[in-house]
Amino acid sequence: MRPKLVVAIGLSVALPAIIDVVFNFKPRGGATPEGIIPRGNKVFYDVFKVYAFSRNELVAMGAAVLAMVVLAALFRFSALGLRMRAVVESPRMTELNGIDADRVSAFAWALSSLFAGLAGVLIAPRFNTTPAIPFVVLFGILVFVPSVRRSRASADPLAGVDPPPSSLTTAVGDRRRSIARRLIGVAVAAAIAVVLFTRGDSAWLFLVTQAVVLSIVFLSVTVITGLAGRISLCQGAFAAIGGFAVFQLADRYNVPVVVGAVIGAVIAAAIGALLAMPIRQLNGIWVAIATLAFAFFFDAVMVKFSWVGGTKDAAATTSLAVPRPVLGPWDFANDKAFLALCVVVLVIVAFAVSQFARSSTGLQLQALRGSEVAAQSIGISPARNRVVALAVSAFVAGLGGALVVIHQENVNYAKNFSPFFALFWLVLVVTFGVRTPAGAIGGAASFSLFEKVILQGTIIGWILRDPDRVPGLFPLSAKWSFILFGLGTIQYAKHPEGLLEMSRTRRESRRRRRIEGVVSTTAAPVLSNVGEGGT
Amino acid sequence: MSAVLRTRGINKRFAGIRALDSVDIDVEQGERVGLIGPNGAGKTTFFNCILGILRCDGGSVEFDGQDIGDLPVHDRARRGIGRTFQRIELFPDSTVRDHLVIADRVRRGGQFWRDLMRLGRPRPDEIARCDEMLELLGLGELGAEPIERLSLGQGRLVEVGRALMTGPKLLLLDEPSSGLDRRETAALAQTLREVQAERGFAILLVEHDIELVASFTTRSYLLDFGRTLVDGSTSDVIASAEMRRAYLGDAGVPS
Repeated sequence: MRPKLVVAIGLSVALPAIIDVVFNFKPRGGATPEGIIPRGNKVFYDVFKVYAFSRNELVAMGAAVLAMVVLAALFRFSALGLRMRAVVESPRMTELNGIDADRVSAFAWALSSLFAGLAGVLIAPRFNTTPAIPFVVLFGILVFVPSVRRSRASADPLAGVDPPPSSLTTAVGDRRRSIARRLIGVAVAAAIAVVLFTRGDSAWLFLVTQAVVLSIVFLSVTVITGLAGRISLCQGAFAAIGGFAVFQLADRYNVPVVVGAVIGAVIAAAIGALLAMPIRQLNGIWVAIATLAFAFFFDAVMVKFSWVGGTKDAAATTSLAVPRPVLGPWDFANDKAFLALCVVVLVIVAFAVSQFARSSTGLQLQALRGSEVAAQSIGISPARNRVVALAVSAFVAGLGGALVVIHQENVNYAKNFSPFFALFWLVLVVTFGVRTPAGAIGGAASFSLFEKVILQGTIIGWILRDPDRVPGLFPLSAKWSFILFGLGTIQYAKHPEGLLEMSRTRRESRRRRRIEGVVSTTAAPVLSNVGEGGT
Repeated sequence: MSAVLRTRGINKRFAGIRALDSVDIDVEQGERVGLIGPNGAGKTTFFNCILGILRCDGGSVEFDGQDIGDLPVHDRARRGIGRTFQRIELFPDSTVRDHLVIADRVRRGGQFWRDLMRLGRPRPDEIARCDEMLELLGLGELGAEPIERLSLGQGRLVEVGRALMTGPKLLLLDEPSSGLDRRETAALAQTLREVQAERGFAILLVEHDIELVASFTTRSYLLDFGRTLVDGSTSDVIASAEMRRAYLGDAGVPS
């Protein structure tokens, strides 16, 4: 998984929230921007008698052509353009020629942001539309035009001087300490459960249940990103498929919601497998782009179908209500009973994901993540494993999505499953630890509880024994969650193992230093692939 | 004996450079063959063409009597081609034993559901097979070590062990002595001889250490600028004028 891509996704979550918090934008209803030219959406020209172009559209097309010409000239003829191309090929070779690669990269980022901003300004008059066609076209190009996605990574002649990527999991550790840590974890969880079940009000129950069901959804990120090393940005769509399936099966065929949840997960897995087939040869950023394209396609097209996001009688109601299940003597309309059910499902799914990691497929994914060429050289099929990984991940996401809608007793697509949420889910899981179920659970707990516990000042108030907390400071805006966790991905470049594993590794390292009395316990990573050029 | 590998007219171009030019090579069952040549001769490219990592521009690759030219890499590997790499290729998040377990399970076929039912942990028989291989390679103590803690030489041995766990009929060794000292190189060669004698696979060795090639292989090919210049017994190839010219230029050949 590429740190730059992860950090870019984190920033795409954090930056809009920062702008929002700093400038405190308020939405204005009914107002459409005129565009950058006076009367841009009121004056039309129909030169060819085919389509009447607005002035805004003509300006946008003109700006696009001009930008294309300027960029082409920059890359083709300027010294800076040449440096930018060189940095893309090999930053280190460029630096050996006395060029500051970081500075050139920073300029490239600034330039790309300028054009993105320009595009935003030009598209503002049409901002209410969510076109699906561009994403379908993008998806098609990625899948069917291999030259577009050809990786240039191998062009770096200094690629071989990299040390091997750092391990995301600490394979060594004291078994007794590991067991003790787990026992402490179980004891803490049990204590929280006792407090919650005896003294928790409905608001706390809702948040904790949401954390539990989202943990299941987030485990799908653990499978596809943590185990398979592929960034999928359509986990929200898979979760939505599970959610919509529960509703549709219950609404149209009176299928019990528990059965519907399983069927929904199976449907999500089937769609995941179908999606994985055409993109199985893609790697790195192309997988992220292709899955994002699918997420927007689902958002713009599929959700609109009555058999997905509608009711059997569209005129009758717009509510997508979902009942809570009743299993024998247990009625899960009771929030505490439903929370217990969700905890049981979470434990089962987390255990299954752990086992999947150690299964043959899990080990093969581990090998592919480490070295695709070496994995293939011992007979591992990348395509087969990628299809299985996305299908399993989609199954887990679909199951989690089904539980989300059963918990909320309603399918609220926009507030739970839109493409933006899939970005934020990835950010959270990566921040806490993408390789272990604990990271997914930590991410989900933060998603649900961070605002209540931290941003509303609950924990500070509890510590200060003051119900008014710190006057004037709390509650903080909920957007701080996006800012803090979005920026939190910056640490991924240095600590890809995530917060939980990082703190565990540090504790382990301190303990070893105490025992061994040496400054550093980590043996020098001597496998460093130094300086061997192939022919 | 019959040929386990037979290539005919292998061509490979990179832009304007002809990396391989009609390369014909035969390796018989159980044979140890050397592929010698200076840097840039095309040895690793040839390995990549055999395994399918690179597509040949022309020519045929026959393995065990069957044309495998259109098969993907993993299918060729499953038919019995094992490989180590010039630039070491290991799995960073795995232990030493994991490398061997992964290879062993691939060889034994898909066990997805069975693995889930058996909770996925390596079974005693798997561990026994892997530990036997680790002992053979002198890595018996390192099974549980993360791969990052190994020296380069130990990493090369893990690569060899991983390739052997696939049960190859042909083992492609790409500069296995690189990063090893003389003692480790001699030990590796001895281990390979023993394993090969026991299992009967063939070895095609790319190596700059001429001493190792001379002691380990019976027959060799000299490759330079993508062409096979000489083939024959290893001692003849090493003694040939083409060999001196390839490594030392015209100065290496007495006029």
